[in-house]
Amino acid sequence: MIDDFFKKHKDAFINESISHIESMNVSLLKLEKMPTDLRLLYEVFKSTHTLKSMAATMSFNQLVQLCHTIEDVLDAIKNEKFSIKQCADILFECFDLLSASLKEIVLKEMELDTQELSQRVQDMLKTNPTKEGQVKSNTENKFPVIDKIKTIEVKVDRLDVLMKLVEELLISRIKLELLRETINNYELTAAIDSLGRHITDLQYNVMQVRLVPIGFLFNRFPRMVRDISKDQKKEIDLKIEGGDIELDRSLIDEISDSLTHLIRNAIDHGIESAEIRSKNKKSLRSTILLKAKRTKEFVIIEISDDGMGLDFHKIKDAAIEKNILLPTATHEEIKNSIFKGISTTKKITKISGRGLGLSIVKQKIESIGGSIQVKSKIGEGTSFFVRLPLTLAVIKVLFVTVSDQIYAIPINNIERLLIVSANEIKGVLNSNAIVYQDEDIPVTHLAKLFFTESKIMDNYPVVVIKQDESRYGLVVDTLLSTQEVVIKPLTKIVKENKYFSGTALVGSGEMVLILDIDQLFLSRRYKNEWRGANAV
Amino acid sequence: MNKLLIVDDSAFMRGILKDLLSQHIPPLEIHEADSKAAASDVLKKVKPDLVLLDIVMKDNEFEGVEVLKEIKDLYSNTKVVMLTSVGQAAIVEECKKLGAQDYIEKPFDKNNIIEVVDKYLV
Repeated sequence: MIDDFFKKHKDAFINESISHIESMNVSLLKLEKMPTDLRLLYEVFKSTHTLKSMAATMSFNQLVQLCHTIEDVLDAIKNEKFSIKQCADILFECFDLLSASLKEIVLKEMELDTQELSQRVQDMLKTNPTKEGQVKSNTENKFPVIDKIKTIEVKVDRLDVLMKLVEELLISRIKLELLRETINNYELTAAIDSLGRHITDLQYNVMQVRLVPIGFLFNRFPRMVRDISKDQKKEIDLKIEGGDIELDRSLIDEISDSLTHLIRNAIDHGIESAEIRSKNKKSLRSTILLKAKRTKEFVIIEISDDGMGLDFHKIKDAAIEKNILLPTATHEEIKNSIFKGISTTKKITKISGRGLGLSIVKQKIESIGGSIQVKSKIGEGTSFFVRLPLTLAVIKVLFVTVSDQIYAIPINNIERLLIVSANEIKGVLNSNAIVYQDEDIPVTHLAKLFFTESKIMDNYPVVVIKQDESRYGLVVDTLLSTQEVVIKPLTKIVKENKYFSGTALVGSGEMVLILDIDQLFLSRRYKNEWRGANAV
Repeated sequence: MNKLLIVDDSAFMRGILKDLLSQHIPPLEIHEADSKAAASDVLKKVKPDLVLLDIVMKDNEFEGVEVLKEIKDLYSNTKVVMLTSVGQAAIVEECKKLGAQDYIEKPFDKNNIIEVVDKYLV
């Protein structure tokens, strides 16, 4: 029995067996309380069966036999030959023997004899059960269950240190990858590849450890909503969904104030007073929904109220007055102007009203790589959608060059890469466009945005950017590679330039600017740019 | 080198399979994943020739089926062998309809595993 095979797989076998026995115990305990819940019976069966096949793989025949016996009992319960009550004790005894046998395997690399118990159970199954007759179990011979520590507390600081180290590793890897290109040795390449895979695994696992259910944050709000709404004599239900969605711990700290602000706003400005609600035939009880949802690469937090909604006419007037908008502003621009420090409220309460709040919220969310959007219908309510990256530290980018400078574009924003010949770029109205999937999409050269010279070429690489339903083309000089990079916040000087969301550290230790695609397309200047005569 | 992906939430199972198949001749490049998400990550980087895929993972009856769909969407000619337990005939049929080539019932015979792998790897 004690061979290499056994030694190699012993730990995994023991660990998983223990957790199966644990869940068998838990399900059976529940089953005792809810004997009609067949799902619980199935849970016990599933774990027993898995344990049996694991034991068979390890050639622990006594364990296999005992599991088999347990399955027979479960079958008898399922077929209503015996009741749970009649079998519970002997099943627990079987589970205890399984545990004891595992302990023996850990200590002596040998399993316990299960013949006696198996025989006793089989004998029992042959009897005709009386109504209240409980099957006798051998209670004197209780085997202790193996105790195993499954969770430990770790200081948050230590997790941060781990994450920092992973970042350093990622940087070292990028350096190695650059070296590999110059050295070009097969064995080195293979070694770096395998190192890379391990670093990715490590990074993933460290990130997993740092995840915290967003419920930790959400649970602070019911009390706050209760207090403020009482103060304002509004009846508000706070509905919370998706509290189990997990987010990097540092992100939870970062968004706490912003969510507080949005919820306060909803109570203060969104939800109408009871008089207005009854006048408008709305139910007196209003609802604020706080909901987290996870997509592949983002967590989206929705804060919705069923209040009065935003009055975009008033907002437009206020924004024009403050020179934030032109009278020709589009609906999208008007919507976004609420994040630029305008307020339509006359009174400033202790809670909100200065109009600066939302711009601070937006800045904060963008500083951690997120974005915020608003949807609103007058009379029906307002929803804010905060989109956050799953983690702070690492994103995948495409490197491009423009006027001999390297820039990085987040892969999330890219739909496709094209090579377009110069004569395929045509003037449509006052802008330039290419045909993409049978539609004209606007294009412009990145160099134009940076006021540098673009190179004249026969063929231009075009990065097709996806922004909600719209597509745009960015012409660049060359496409380089894609890479996972560690994002660092912008230095102050660069911060002034709103086209960048951060810097990426690359192998040589240089910093490469990461384009902020959202800003790029929202800015008026950009639109003016591509109304210019030539894209390239 | 043929590429093999093992998807199973049990570290024990993955260990056993890896161990058995590491002695395979000719050698295989073996990747592993313990969940749908981990499998997705591997599939982004690697096109496996054969996938050994556990049906029930993390107590989710359909996680394996979802992985199967993802594999077939990405690489239609990648072969998939399901790892199953008793009482899963219905899911196995479903998986076959979705393009799975074969299934192996746990506990499996050590030789059987190698036979099946050889059958689908050219």
